[in-house]
Amino acid sequence: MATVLDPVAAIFDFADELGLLSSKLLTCRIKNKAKLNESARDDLLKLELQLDKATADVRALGIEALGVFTADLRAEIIATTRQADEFLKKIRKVEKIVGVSTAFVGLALAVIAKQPNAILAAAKAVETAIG
Amino acid sequence: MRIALLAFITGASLLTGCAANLKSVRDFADETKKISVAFDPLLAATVEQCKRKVETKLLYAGGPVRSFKPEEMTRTADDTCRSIAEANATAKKIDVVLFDYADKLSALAGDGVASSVDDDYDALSKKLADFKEIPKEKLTAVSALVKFLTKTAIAQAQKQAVAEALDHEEAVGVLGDALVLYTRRVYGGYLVDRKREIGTYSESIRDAIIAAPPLLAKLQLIELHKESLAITEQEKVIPSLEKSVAQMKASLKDLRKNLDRLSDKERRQEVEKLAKEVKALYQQLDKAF
Repeated sequence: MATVLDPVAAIFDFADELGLLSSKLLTCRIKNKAKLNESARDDLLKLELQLDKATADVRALGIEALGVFTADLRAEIIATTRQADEFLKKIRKVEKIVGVSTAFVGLALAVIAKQPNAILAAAKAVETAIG
Repeated sequence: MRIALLAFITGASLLTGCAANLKSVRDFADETKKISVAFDPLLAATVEQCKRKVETKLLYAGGPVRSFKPEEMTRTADDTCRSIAEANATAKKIDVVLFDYADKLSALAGDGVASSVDDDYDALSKKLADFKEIPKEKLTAVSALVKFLTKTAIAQAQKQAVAEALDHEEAVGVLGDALVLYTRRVYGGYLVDRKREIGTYSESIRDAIIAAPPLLAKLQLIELHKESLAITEQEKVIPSLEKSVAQMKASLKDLRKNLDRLSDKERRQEVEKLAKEVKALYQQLDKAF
Protein backbone atom coordinates (compact mmCIF):
# COMPACT_ATOMS: atom_id res chain seq x y z
CA MET A 1 0.00 0.00 0.00
CA ALA A 2 1.40 3.39 -1.04
CA THR A 3 2.02 5.86 1.78
CA VAL A 4 3.19 9.47 2.03
CA LEU A 5 6.56 8.13 3.16
CA ASP A 6 7.32 6.21 -0.07
CA PRO A 7 9.59 8.94 -1.54
CA VAL A 8 11.69 8.75 1.63
CA ALA A 9 12.19 5.02 1.10
CA ALA A 10 13.67 5.85 -2.33
CA ILE A 11 16.24 8.16 -0.65
CA PHE A 12 17.20 5.38 1.74
CA ASP A 13 17.54 2.97 -1.23
CA PHE A 14 20.11 5.34 -2.75
CA ALA A 15 22.01 5.58 0.57
CA ASP A 16 22.12 1.77 0.78
CA GLU A 17 23.63 1.65 -2.73
CA LEU A 18 26.35 4.09 -1.67
CA GLY A 19 27.05 1.99 1.44
CA LEU A 20 27.24 -1.16 -0.66
CA LEU A 21 29.61 0.52 -3.10
CA SER A 22 31.90 1.53 -0.21
CA SER A 23 31.91 -2.07 1.06
CA LYS A 24 32.71 -3.38 -2.43
CA LEU A 25 35.62 -0.97 -2.74
CA LEU A 26 36.86 -2.07 0.70
CA THR A 27 36.80 -5.74 -0.35
CA CYS A 28 38.50 -4.88 -3.64
CA ARG A 29 41.22 -2.87 -1.86
CA ILE A 30 41.89 -5.60 0.72
CA LYS A 31 41.88 -8.48 -1.80
CA ASN A 32 44.20 -6.60 -4.17
CA LYS A 33 46.47 -5.24 -1.46
CA ALA A 34 49.53 -6.91 -2.90
CA LYS A 35 48.91 -5.58 -6.40
CA LEU A 36 48.32 -1.96 -5.33
CA ASN A 37 51.05 0.47 -4.32
CA GLU A 38 50.68 2.51 -1.10
CA SER A 39 49.50 5.61 -2.93
CA ALA A 40 46.76 3.71 -4.80
CA ARG A 41 45.65 2.02 -1.57
CA ASP A 42 45.51 5.42 0.12
CA ASP A 43 43.46 6.88 -2.74
CA LEU A 44 41.01 4.00 -2.55
CA LEU A 45 40.69 4.39 1.23
CA LYS A 46 39.95 8.11 0.77
CA LEU A 47 37.31 7.25 -1.82
CA GLU A 48 35.70 4.74 0.57
CA LEU A 49 35.63 7.34 3.33
CA GLN A 50 34.00 9.83 0.96
CA LEU A 51 31.40 7.20 0.09
CA ASP A 52 30.85 6.54 3.81
CA LYS A 53 30.28 10.26 4.35
CA ALA A 54 27.95 10.38 1.33
CA THR A 55 26.02 7.37 2.74
CA ALA A 56 25.60 9.19 6.06
CA ASP A 57 24.63 12.46 4.34
CA VAL A 58 21.99 10.79 2.15
CA ARG A 59 20.59 8.90 5.14
CA ALA A 60 20.48 12.23 6.99
CA LEU A 61 18.60 13.69 4.02
CA GLY A 62 16.15 10.83 4.31
CA ILE A 63 15.61 11.61 7.99
CA GLU A 64 15.03 15.30 7.15
CA ALA A 65 12.57 14.18 4.46
CA LEU A 66 10.71 12.18 7.13
CA GLY A 67 10.38 15.48 8.96
CA VAL A 68 9.07 17.26 5.86
CA PHE A 69 6.56 14.55 4.93
CA THR A 70 5.20 14.31 8.46
CA ALA A 71 5.17 18.08 9.15
CA ASP A 72 1.43 18.57 8.55
CA LEU A 73 0.52 15.44 10.45
CA ARG A 74 2.72 16.47 13.37
CA ALA A 75 1.01 19.86 13.40
CA GLU A 76 -2.36 18.06 13.44
CA ILE A 77 -1.33 15.91 16.40
CA ILE A 78 0.20 18.86 18.27
CA ALA A 79 -3.14 20.71 17.89
CA THR A 80 -5.00 17.65 19.21
CA THR A 81 -2.62 17.41 22.16
CA ARG A 82 -3.23 21.10 22.92
CA GLN A 83 -6.99 20.56 22.79
CA ALA A 84 -6.66 17.70 25.25
CA ASP A 85 -4.59 19.93 27.48
CA GLU A 86 -7.25 22.65 27.34
CA PHE A 87 -9.90 20.13 28.35
CA LEU A 88 -7.85 18.98 31.33
CA LYS A 89 -7.30 22.62 32.33
CA LYS A 90 -11.07 23.22 32.25
CA ILE A 91 -11.57 20.31 34.65
CA ARG A 92 -8.99 21.80 36.96
CA LYS A 93 -10.89 25.09 36.72
CA VAL A 94 -14.09 23.38 37.95
CA GLU A 95 -12.09 21.92 40.82
CA LYS A 96 -10.72 25.36 41.58
CA ILE A 97 -14.13 27.03 41.56
CA VAL A 98 -15.46 24.49 44.03
CA GLY A 99 -12.33 24.93 46.12
CA VAL A 100 -12.72 28.74 46.17
CA SER A 101 -16.43 28.42 47.09
CA THR A 102 -15.49 26.13 49.96
CA ALA A 103 -12.93 28.64 51.20
CA PHE A 104 -15.48 31.50 51.04
CA VAL A 105 -18.04 29.45 52.96
CA GLY A 106 -15.38 28.85 55.61
CA LEU A 107 -14.75 32.61 55.80
CA ALA A 108 -18.48 33.37 56.06
CA LEU A 109 -18.83 30.88 58.91
CA ALA A 110 -15.90 32.44 60.76
CA VAL A 111 -17.40 35.95 60.32
CA ILE A 112 -20.81 34.78 61.58
CA ALA A 113 -19.16 33.14 64.58
CA LYS A 114 -17.19 36.38 65.16
CA GLN A 115 -13.90 34.58 65.80
CA PRO A 116 -10.99 36.87 64.77
CA ASN A 117 -8.38 34.10 64.58
CA ALA A 118 -10.70 31.87 62.55
CA ILE A 119 -11.48 34.81 60.23
CA LEU A 120 -7.77 35.37 59.66
CA ALA A 121 -7.18 31.67 58.93
CA ALA A 122 -10.24 31.49 56.66
CA ALA A 123 -9.12 34.61 54.76
CA LYS A 124 -5.75 32.98 54.18
CA ALA A 125 -7.51 29.83 52.94
CA VAL A 126 -9.46 31.99 50.44
CA GLU A 127 -6.23 33.59 49.26
CA THR A 128 -4.63 30.16 48.79
CA ALA A 129 -7.67 28.79 46.93
CA ILE A 130 -7.73 31.78 44.57
CA GLY A 131 -3.99 31.72 43.99
CA MET B 1 -39.14 16.75 47.29
CA ARG B 2 -36.11 14.85 48.53
CA ILE B 3 -37.46 11.54 47.24
CA ALA B 4 -38.14 13.12 43.84
CA LEU B 5 -34.63 14.46 43.74
CA LEU B 6 -33.07 11.11 44.64
CA ALA B 7 -35.26 9.37 42.07
CA PHE B 8 -34.06 11.85 39.43
CA ILE B 9 -30.43 11.24 40.31
CA THR B 10 -30.83 7.45 40.25
CA GLY B 11 -32.68 7.60 36.94
CA ALA B 12 -30.15 9.90 35.37
CA SER B 13 -27.33 7.68 36.62
CA LEU B 14 -28.85 4.70 34.88
CA LEU B 15 -29.45 6.65 31.68
CA THR B 16 -25.97 8.08 31.36
CA GLY B 17 -24.17 5.01 32.61
CA CYS B 18 -22.31 7.20 35.10
CA ALA B 19 -18.54 7.59 34.59
CA ALA B 20 -17.02 6.23 31.38
CA ASN B 21 -14.80 3.16 31.60
CA LEU B 22 -11.86 4.17 29.46
CA LYS B 23 -9.29 1.68 30.73
CA SER B 24 -8.67 0.25 27.25
CA VAL B 25 -7.97 3.74 25.88
CA ARG B 26 -5.70 4.50 28.82
CA ASP B 27 -3.78 1.24 28.41
CA PHE B 28 -3.50 1.82 24.67
CA ALA B 29 -2.04 5.27 25.33
CA ASP B 30 0.40 3.95 27.93
CA GLU B 31 1.65 1.21 25.58
CA THR B 32 2.05 3.79 22.79
CA LYS B 33 4.16 5.89 25.15
CA LYS B 34 6.36 2.85 25.76
CA ILE B 35 6.91 2.43 21.99
CA SER B 36 8.00 6.04 21.80
CA VAL B 37 10.41 5.58 24.73
CA ALA B 38 11.79 2.38 23.14
CA PHE B 39 12.61 4.27 19.93
CA ASP B 40 14.79 6.84 21.69
CA PRO B 41 17.96 4.73 22.25
CA LEU B 42 17.97 3.75 18.57
CA LEU B 43 18.91 7.33 17.63
CA ALA B 44 22.17 7.24 19.58
CA ALA B 45 22.79 3.63 18.52
CA THR B 46 22.58 4.67 14.85
CA VAL B 47 25.25 7.34 15.26
CA GLU B 48 27.35 4.86 17.24
CA GLN B 49 27.13 2.24 14.46
CA CYS B 50 28.00 4.87 11.85
CA LYS B 51 31.13 5.82 13.80
CA ARG B 52 32.09 2.21 14.49
CA LYS B 53 31.96 1.49 10.75
CA VAL B 54 34.57 4.20 10.05
CA GLU B 55 36.72 3.35 13.07
CA THR B 56 36.76 -0.38 12.27
CA LYS B 57 37.77 0.41 8.70
CA LEU B 58 40.67 2.63 9.83
CA LEU B 59 41.77 0.05 12.42
CA TYR B 60 41.64 -3.09 10.28
CA ALA B 61 42.20 -1.68 6.83
CA GLY B 62 43.55 1.83 7.27
CA GLY B 63 46.94 3.11 6.23
CA PRO B 64 50.30 1.92 7.60
CA VAL B 65 50.88 1.90 11.39
CA ARG B 66 53.48 4.68 11.15
CA SER B 67 50.81 7.12 9.91
CA PHE B 68 48.02 5.94 12.26
CA LYS B 69 46.72 8.70 14.55
CA PRO B 70 44.00 7.75 17.05
CA GLU B 71 42.68 11.33 17.35
CA GLU B 72 42.41 11.54 13.55
CA MET B 73 40.42 8.29 13.50
CA THR B 74 37.93 9.72 16.04
CA ARG B 75 37.72 13.00 14.14
CA THR B 76 37.07 11.24 10.81
CA ALA B 77 34.33 9.13 12.43
CA ASP B 78 32.74 12.23 13.99
CA ASP B 79 32.87 14.19 10.72
CA THR B 80 31.41 11.30 8.73
CA CYS B 81 28.47 10.84 11.08
CA ARG B 82 27.77 14.46 12.04
CA SER B 83 24.95 14.82 9.50
CA ILE B 84 23.15 11.79 10.97
CA ALA B 85 23.60 13.10 14.52
CA GLU B 86 22.12 16.46 13.47
CA ALA B 87 19.26 14.98 11.46
CA ASN B 88 18.36 12.80 14.45
CA ALA B 89 16.82 15.93 16.00
CA THR B 90 14.11 15.66 13.33
CA ALA B 91 13.45 11.99 14.11
CA LYS B 92 13.34 12.88 17.79
CA LYS B 93 10.68 15.54 17.08
CA ILE B 94 8.45 12.91 15.46
CA ASP B 95 8.95 10.65 18.46
CA VAL B 96 8.21 13.45 20.93
CA VAL B 97 4.95 14.36 19.15
CA LEU B 98 3.81 10.73 19.37
CA PHE B 99 4.78 10.56 23.06
CA ASP B 100 2.99 13.81 23.96
CA TYR B 101 -0.14 12.66 22.12
CA ALA B 102 -0.17 9.34 23.98
CA ASP B 103 0.58 11.09 27.27
CA LYS B 104 -2.38 13.46 26.92
CA LEU B 105 -4.66 10.67 25.69
CA SER B 106 -3.75 8.69 28.81
CA ALA B 107 -4.56 11.72 31.01
CA LEU B 108 -7.86 12.29 29.15
CA ALA B 109 -8.89 8.69 29.69
CA GLY B 110 -7.84 8.82 33.34
CA ASP B 111 -10.20 7.34 35.92
CA GLY B 112 -9.95 10.42 38.08
CA VAL B 113 -11.09 12.95 35.46
CA ALA B 114 -14.85 12.74 36.06
CA SER B 115 -14.58 12.02 39.78
CA SER B 116 -11.89 14.64 40.42
CA VAL B 117 -14.43 17.14 41.72
CA ASP B 118 -15.96 14.66 44.20
CA ASP B 119 -13.64 15.47 47.08
CA ASP B 120 -14.00 19.20 46.51
CA TYR B 121 -17.80 18.95 46.57
CA ASP B 122 -17.69 16.82 49.69
CA ALA B 123 -15.56 19.46 51.41
CA LEU B 124 -17.99 22.17 50.29
CA SER B 125 -21.03 20.19 51.54
CA LYS B 126 -19.33 19.67 54.89
CA LYS B 127 -18.70 23.39 55.27
CA LEU B 128 -22.26 24.28 54.19
CA ALA B 129 -23.62 21.83 56.77
CA ASP B 130 -22.19 24.12 59.46
CA PHE B 131 -24.83 26.72 58.52
CA LYS B 132 -27.57 25.87 61.00
CA GLU B 133 -30.11 27.81 58.90
CA ILE B 134 -29.91 25.40 55.96
CA PRO B 135 -32.04 22.26 56.46
CA LYS B 136 -29.70 19.27 56.46
CA GLU B 137 -31.81 16.96 54.25
CA LYS B 138 -32.19 19.64 51.56
CA LEU B 139 -28.50 20.43 51.67
CA THR B 140 -27.52 16.78 51.19
CA ALA B 141 -29.89 16.33 48.28
CA VAL B 142 -28.87 19.56 46.54
CA SER B 143 -25.17 18.84 47.03
CA ALA B 144 -25.60 15.35 45.63
CA LEU B 145 -27.49 16.70 42.63
CA VAL B 146 -24.89 19.40 41.85
CA LYS B 147 -22.09 16.86 42.26
CA PHE B 148 -23.83 14.37 40.04
CA LEU B 149 -24.60 16.90 37.32
CA THR B 150 -21.03 18.18 37.28
CA LYS B 151 -19.67 14.64 37.17
CA THR B 152 -22.04 13.64 34.36
CA ALA B 153 -21.19 16.73 32.35
CA ILE B 154 -17.48 16.08 32.80
CA ALA B 155 -17.86 12.39 31.90
CA GLN B 156 -19.68 13.33 28.69
CA ALA B 157 -17.08 15.93 27.81
CA GLN B 158 -14.35 13.44 28.65
CA LYS B 159 -15.83 10.85 26.26
CA GLN B 160 -16.08 13.53 23.58
CA ALA B 161 -12.48 14.64 24.13
CA VAL B 162 -11.24 11.02 23.95
CA ALA B 163 -13.24 10.46 20.74
CA GLU B 164 -11.70 13.57 19.19
CA ALA B 165 -8.19 12.46 20.15
CA LEU B 166 -8.75 8.98 18.70
CA ASP B 167 -10.05 10.56 15.51
CA HIS B 168 -6.48 11.28 14.35
CA GLU B 169 -5.84 7.61 13.60
CA GLU B 170 -4.24 8.23 10.21
CA ALA B 171 -1.81 10.90 11.43
CA VAL B 172 -0.78 8.81 14.43
CA GLY B 173 -0.31 5.82 12.11
CA VAL B 174 1.99 7.76 9.77
CA LEU B 175 4.10 9.00 12.70
CA GLY B 176 4.45 5.38 13.83
CA ASP B 177 5.39 4.39 10.26
CA ALA B 178 8.03 7.14 10.20
CA LEU B 179 9.65 5.69 13.33
CA VAL B 180 9.59 2.24 11.74
CA LEU B 181 11.10 3.57 8.51
CA TYR B 182 13.94 5.21 10.44
CA THR B 183 14.55 2.04 12.41
CA ARG B 184 14.53 -0.22 9.36
CA ARG B 185 16.43 1.98 6.92
CA VAL B 186 18.83 4.15 8.97
CA TYR B 187 19.50 2.15 12.14
CA GLY B 188 19.05 -1.13 10.22
CA GLY B 189 21.03 0.21 7.25
CA TYR B 190 24.12 0.67 9.40
CA LEU B 191 23.71 -2.75 10.98
CA VAL B 192 23.64 -4.32 7.50
CA ASP B 193 26.69 -2.29 6.40
CA ARG B 194 28.64 -3.25 9.49
CA LYS B 195 27.81 -6.96 9.36
CA ARG B 196 28.88 -7.09 5.72
CA GLU B 197 32.20 -5.39 6.43
CA ILE B 198 32.88 -7.45 9.58
CA GLY B 199 32.56 -10.49 7.28
CA THR B 200 35.17 -8.98 4.94
CA TYR B 201 37.62 -8.26 7.81
CA SER B 202 37.18 -11.73 9.34
CA GLU B 203 37.75 -13.43 6.00
CA SER B 204 40.84 -11.29 5.32
CA ILE B 205 42.35 -12.06 8.73
CA ARG B 206 41.80 -15.81 8.18
CA ASP B 207 43.41 -15.56 4.73
CA ALA B 208 46.27 -13.55 6.24
CA ILE B 209 45.59 -10.67 3.86
CA ILE B 210 45.27 -8.45 6.92
CA ALA B 211 48.63 -9.28 8.44
CA ALA B 212 48.83 -10.04 12.16
CA PRO B 213 50.73 -12.49 14.40
CA PRO B 214 48.63 -15.69 15.02
CA LEU B 215 47.60 -14.83 18.57
CA LEU B 216 46.59 -11.28 17.63
CA ALA B 217 44.74 -12.56 14.55
CA LYS B 218 42.74 -14.96 16.75
CA LEU B 219 41.94 -12.21 19.25
CA GLN B 220 40.78 -9.98 16.41
CA LEU B 221 38.55 -12.78 15.09
CA ILE B 222 37.03 -13.22 18.57
CA GLU B 223 36.42 -9.48 18.78
CA LEU B 224 34.76 -9.36 15.35
CA HIS B 225 32.66 -12.43 16.20
CA LYS B 226 31.42 -10.74 19.38
CA GLU B 227 30.54 -7.60 17.43
CA SER B 228 28.70 -9.68 14.87
CA LEU B 229 26.66 -11.41 17.61
CA ALA B 230 25.84 -8.05 19.20
CA ILE B 231 24.68 -6.70 15.83
CA THR B 232 22.44 -9.77 15.34
CA GLU B 233 20.70 -8.98 18.65
CA GLN B 234 20.38 -5.31 17.67
CA GLU B 235 18.87 -6.31 14.33
CA LYS B 236 16.12 -8.24 16.14
CA VAL B 237 14.87 -4.95 17.60
CA ILE B 238 13.68 -3.93 14.11
CA PRO B 239 10.94 -6.57 13.53
CA SER B 240 9.95 -6.21 17.17
CA LEU B 241 9.39 -2.46 16.79
CA GLU B 242 7.59 -3.04 13.47
CA LYS B 243 5.18 -5.50 15.14
CA SER B 244 4.56 -3.11 18.04
CA VAL B 245 3.73 -0.20 15.72
CA ALA B 246 1.54 -2.43 13.50
CA GLN B 247 -0.42 -3.55 16.58
CA MET B 248 -0.57 0.03 17.86
CA LYS B 249 -2.26 1.01 14.59
CA ALA B 250 -4.62 -1.99 14.75
CA SER B 251 -5.59 -1.21 18.36
CA LEU B 252 -6.20 2.46 17.55
CA LYS B 253 -8.38 1.48 14.59
CA ASP B 254 -10.35 -0.87 16.82
CA LEU B 255 -10.88 1.75 19.55
CA ARG B 256 -11.93 4.40 17.06
CA LYS B 257 -14.38 2.03 15.35
CA ASN B 258 -15.99 1.11 18.67
CA LEU B 259 -16.33 4.37 20.55
CA ASP B 260 -19.64 3.24 22.05
CA ARG B 261 -18.20 -0.03 23.23
CA LEU B 262 -14.87 1.06 24.71
CA SER B 263 -15.33 -1.03 27.84
CA ASP B 264 -16.09 -4.26 25.94
CA LYS B 265 -13.93 -7.35 26.37
CA GLU B 266 -12.87 -7.20 22.70
CA ARG B 267 -11.25 -3.79 23.21
CA ARG B 268 -9.29 -5.11 26.16
CA GLN B 269 -8.14 -8.11 24.15
CA GLU B 270 -6.95 -5.90 21.31
CA VAL B 271 -4.98 -3.67 23.68
CA GLU B 272 -3.59 -6.76 25.45
CA LYS B 273 -2.14 -7.84 22.09
CA LEU B 274 -0.38 -4.48 21.93
CA ALA B 275 0.95 -4.88 25.48
CA LYS B 276 2.32 -8.31 24.50
CA GLU B 277 4.19 -6.90 21.48
CA VAL B 278 5.58 -4.00 23.49
CA LYS B 279 6.75 -6.39 26.21
CA ALA B 280 8.59 -8.45 23.57
CA LEU B 281 10.13 -5.23 22.21
CA TYR B 282 11.49 -4.30 25.63
CA GLN B 283 12.84 -7.82 26.17
CA GLN B 284 14.70 -7.54 22.86
CA LEU B 285 15.99 -4.06 23.75
CA ASP B 286 17.39 -5.51 26.99
CA LYS B 287 19.24 -8.18 25.01
CA ALA B 288 20.49 -5.73 22.39
CA PHE B 289 21.82 -2.92 24.60
